[in-house]
Amino acid sequence: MADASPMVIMEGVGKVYGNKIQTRVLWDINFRVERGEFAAIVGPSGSGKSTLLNLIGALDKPSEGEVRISGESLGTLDDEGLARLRRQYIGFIFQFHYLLPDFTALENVLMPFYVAHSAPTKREVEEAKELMERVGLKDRINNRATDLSGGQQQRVAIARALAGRKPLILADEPTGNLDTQTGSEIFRTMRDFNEQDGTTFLLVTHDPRFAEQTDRVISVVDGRIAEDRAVLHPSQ
Amino acid sequence: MPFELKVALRYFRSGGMQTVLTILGVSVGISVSIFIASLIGGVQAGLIERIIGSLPHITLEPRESVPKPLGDILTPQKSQIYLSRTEKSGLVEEKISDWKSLVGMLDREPGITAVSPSVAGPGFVIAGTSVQPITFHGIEPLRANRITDLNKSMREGTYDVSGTNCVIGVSLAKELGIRLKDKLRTRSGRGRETIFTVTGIFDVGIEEINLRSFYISLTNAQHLLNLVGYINGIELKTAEIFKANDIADHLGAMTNLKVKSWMRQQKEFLSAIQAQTGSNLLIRFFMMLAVAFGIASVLVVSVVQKSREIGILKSMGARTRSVTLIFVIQGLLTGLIGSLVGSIIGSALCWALAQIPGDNLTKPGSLFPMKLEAIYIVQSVVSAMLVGVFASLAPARRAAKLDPVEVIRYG
Repeated sequence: MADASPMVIMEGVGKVYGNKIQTRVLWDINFRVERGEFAAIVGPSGSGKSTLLNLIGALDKPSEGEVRISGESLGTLDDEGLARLRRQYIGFIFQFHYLLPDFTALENVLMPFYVAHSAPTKREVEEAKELMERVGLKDRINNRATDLSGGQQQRVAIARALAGRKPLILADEPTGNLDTQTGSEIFRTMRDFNEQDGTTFLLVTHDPRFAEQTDRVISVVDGRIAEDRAVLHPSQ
Repeated sequence: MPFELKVALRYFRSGGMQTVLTILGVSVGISVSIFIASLIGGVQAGLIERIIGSLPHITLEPRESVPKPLGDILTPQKSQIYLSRTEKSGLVEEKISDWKSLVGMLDREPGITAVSPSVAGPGFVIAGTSVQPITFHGIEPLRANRITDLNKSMREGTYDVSGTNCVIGVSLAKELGIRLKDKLRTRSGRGRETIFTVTGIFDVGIEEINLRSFYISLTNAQHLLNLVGYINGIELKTAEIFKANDIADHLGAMTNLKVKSWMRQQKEFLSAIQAQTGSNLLIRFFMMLAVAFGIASVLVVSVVQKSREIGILKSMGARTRSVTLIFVIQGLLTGLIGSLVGSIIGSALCWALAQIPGDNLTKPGSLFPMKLEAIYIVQSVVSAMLVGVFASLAPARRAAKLDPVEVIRYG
């Protein structure tokens, strides 16, 4: 059964960019992420963290090795297949939120439903409103994306990533553009969703403070996994 | 509402001044296209009305009798040479018998709107010492009026050829100093004489007809030209004047009569009309080309402006087809709205110009002979929408090919 399989499996994954002049970004990456994990990918700039995230997010294909998302191998899928995989399993949160400015906050959260099958159902609208409530923006649903603060926009981006009960959320520096206080709130919101709904989170972050609050830290240095360790919290 | 339409509408609306200017550009192109089509259409309609309006579109005539060459009659002898010339006899009768059933058949023929049997032949009008050559036209007035619309062209008197009444042109009346109710002595080429009373004087705008045509009843013409029981021509009007050749060929094969189509008789006029039509199409084609470039350039800019958003949509799993469709819909909307606005502006322009008093070449009363037809508007709207779609294809394809990783990271 697909649901029983790990959320992410990376086996001997490598990534090379360019044809004439080739640049290798990732070497022999091997790890797996179980369902419900809350993990951080850390490493210096240019180490290959974002490339790794793009491969897991089915936005890119590996040059070698195999990436499996919920049991499905990316290598066997064409572009439409990758798009279907993203619709089905994966939500993205980017550093600069990237909401669609021509739409309201609620419409942004509903966007994955529009993308999947045109008009969202009544139940899906209710789900989007509930997500907006859970990220604390119940009274901002009809605001244009551009009429929200940076922190509010990132909350909407989280709600959008979760819409459709996506089992895997990939967050690329989600707190990188926020002040410490707002960053903590955003981190807490993601953690709540992980704990309450069992959603798998993979966070790329530069901030060791947040990385140490996750359950697992995968450290990438020069395109290789330098360290993959569990984080022990005081309560554990 | 489908996702693609929703996003396209939102992008369209958020385009602001950019969207307004593009729509205005399309509108100007469409309004000029409608204006040019209406103006050239009006000029053409006027010219056709003036030059072809009073002429039959097709004429059926008896086939000419061909005298046998002398060589066929004489048996050549050895060492003898015959010099001979084949000459048509002026006395050979060319006539159509059983014409009533033929007219009845033509009445039922599709594509033909009027059928008029006629007897035409040469003659003279003798007024005092003046002798003026004329052509007798024996007609059935109601039928003939549907061909020449003489009733509408009457300048004096009435269109009445009953009994020994006749209708003549203004030029003949002027030439001989004739007035209404004057008696005219006429003589046919057969030497038969009749006195007619002038009941009407017409002006069809063509000097040859105004000077030479002498309209009398069919019976009188048959008597004068020694064709009692026969006619020597049938004149026809067709519903679509540019199908005259096809219908003429069809009738020629069907009746075994000699057929003449206005398109073959008035070749120079026809080629002038065709040149006008060609230039009209050319101007409208280049207008549409300019509209296409306008739409395409704005959509290319829009793709650049929205590239990051396209990347986000793709990261959510938006299909390549959906991304393409978003920009195609924008092109379609620009063409549709621009052409609707352009149709209103173009129609208003045509109406306004038609109100300017003056005399144009074809019709007095208005300086511009505008002929605005619904088909011009329908053509413009449909072609602008198609142009919008085609113009959007390249930018749409470019948008669909955007790499989400690249555009999300670098914009």
